Amino acid sequence: MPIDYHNLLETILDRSATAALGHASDLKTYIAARAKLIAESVILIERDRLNGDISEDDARFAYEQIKKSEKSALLALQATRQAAAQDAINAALNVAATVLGKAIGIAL
Amino acid sequence: MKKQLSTLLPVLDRRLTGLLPLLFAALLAGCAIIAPYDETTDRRIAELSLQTETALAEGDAGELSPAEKSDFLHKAIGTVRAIRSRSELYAKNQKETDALKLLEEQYRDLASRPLRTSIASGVRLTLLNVQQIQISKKRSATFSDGLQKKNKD
Repeated sequence: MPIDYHNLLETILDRSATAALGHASDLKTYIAARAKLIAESVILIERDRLNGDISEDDARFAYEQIKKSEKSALLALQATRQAAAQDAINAALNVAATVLGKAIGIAL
Repeated sequence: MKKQLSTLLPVLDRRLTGLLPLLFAALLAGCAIIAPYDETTDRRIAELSLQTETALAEGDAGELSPAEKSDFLHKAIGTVRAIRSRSELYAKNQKETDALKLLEEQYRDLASRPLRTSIASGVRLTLLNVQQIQISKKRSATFSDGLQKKNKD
């Protein structure tokens, strides 16, 4: 039986999307953890400053360090996006290899 | 399947904007667009995070002497350098190595400040970011293993 194009396309899209969605779920967890950590940091800076445990300059420094960490947050987001893309590609190629292999009787 | 697909695609479109250019780039580059997951790197980062949180808790409690603080920072910087050296052995690992460079810089910045959780917020956030990179690599590795296993069966 010849390969059905529409069925093949749907399967490829479905598997690719499912593969990438796992990363989307991780991303949601990561963003929540990051937001929590930033909020916690703000509270701690305020508390330490009001208690006199840190100077005004230290408080400014702590805030600048939070801003500085945005660089690595961007890198983490990019790496996650790349990993999602890689899994989506591998899922698509896997479907293609399986369908083609069955259709023409060769192992790919 | 059509229903599932129509549900998934808008979500994918919203959450992973910009995925298509990457897909094409990856196809052209032969599929590997990110370095493989490295368990040793992952474990060392988790250990560093634990050591950092411990030192910060001691600092908050006023139980960390200047010598202990200095010792902790030297060890943390040494650990980050060792992790980065290992990280640089892998191709397509630039994002991880760049994040580690920033982490080292942030540990060094702490030398002239009181070692407290509030002050080290940036280090804690960058550690989280580096851990997220490990999580995404681990998910990819697990996914690839699953595909290979499925093909063998």
